[in-house]
Amino acid sequence: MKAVIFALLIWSGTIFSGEIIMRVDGLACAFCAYGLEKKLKKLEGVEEVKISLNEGRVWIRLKEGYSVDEQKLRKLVKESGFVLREIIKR
Amino acid sequence: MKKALTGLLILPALSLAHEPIFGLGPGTIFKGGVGIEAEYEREGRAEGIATELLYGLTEDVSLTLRAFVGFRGAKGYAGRIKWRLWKRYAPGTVDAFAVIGGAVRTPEGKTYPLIASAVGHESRRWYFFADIRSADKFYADGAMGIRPWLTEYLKPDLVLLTELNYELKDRYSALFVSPAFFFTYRNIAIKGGVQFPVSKSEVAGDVEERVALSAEVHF
Repeated sequence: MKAVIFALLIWSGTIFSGEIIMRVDGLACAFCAYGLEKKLKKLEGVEEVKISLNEGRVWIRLKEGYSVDEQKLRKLVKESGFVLREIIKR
Repeated sequence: MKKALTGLLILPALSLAHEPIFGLGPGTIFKGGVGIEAEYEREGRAEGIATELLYGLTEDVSLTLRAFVGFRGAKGYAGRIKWRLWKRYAPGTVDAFAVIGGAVRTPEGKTYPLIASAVGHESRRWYFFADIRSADKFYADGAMGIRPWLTEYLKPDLVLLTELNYELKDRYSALFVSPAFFFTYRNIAIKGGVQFPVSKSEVAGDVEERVALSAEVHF
């Protein structure tokens, strides 16, 4: 049953695991992107965070067995001073 | 000697993102973020060190405390709150408008309310800022910056700025042209600039070049 619910949540686009690529607007400079890196690294299960300023993308790798929901990602990006425009890969 | 440092004490000093060195920008630090800065300042033969502490109440509201100590004993303090009222995002771009309020205690022992507003456009390549401030004088600033090399995150990053800074009080007025730079590596920044007076009224005859050089870290 848990697996079914988890699968439904994944399908509905609210929970992500593994590798996540986000399109983040407002990434103008490295100095301001630091806050985003710091907040994302505090997420439980985050193994690696990469930021591409020129592409406006943020790549997160979660440890196996961990997941994060879209709302949480949106909140963290907002608190860092940016806008999560789109999650383009999960 | 103390009087000459008044102008420097009003400076925002602790820039958020790539803001002007001598003017203000609308940037705010991330929620819960802390910034500290030590800045060397010189105006003519008067010089001193300013330190600042910055805290992000939210991603749109920042608090800043500033203390200045002159090498000859002059002391001054400032506190301000910046509220980013409007922002617009696009890929690699932020446009924003902020209002700033606070108080400044000058080395002469006078306290002035600080009221300001700033608007800015930040992008990967270009920066544009404008602000007006009212404290011991009226200030109006404009700045333009360019990032010559679009380096990625975790690479050294350089932005070159040129500012125009205008000051007015009674019959005193002065216009400065101010080349500046902003060098960062991740959460560490080194920035600096020089204000050259290019036009001044008769009563501003003793206005000299001002230099600011600082190191800043965000946590």
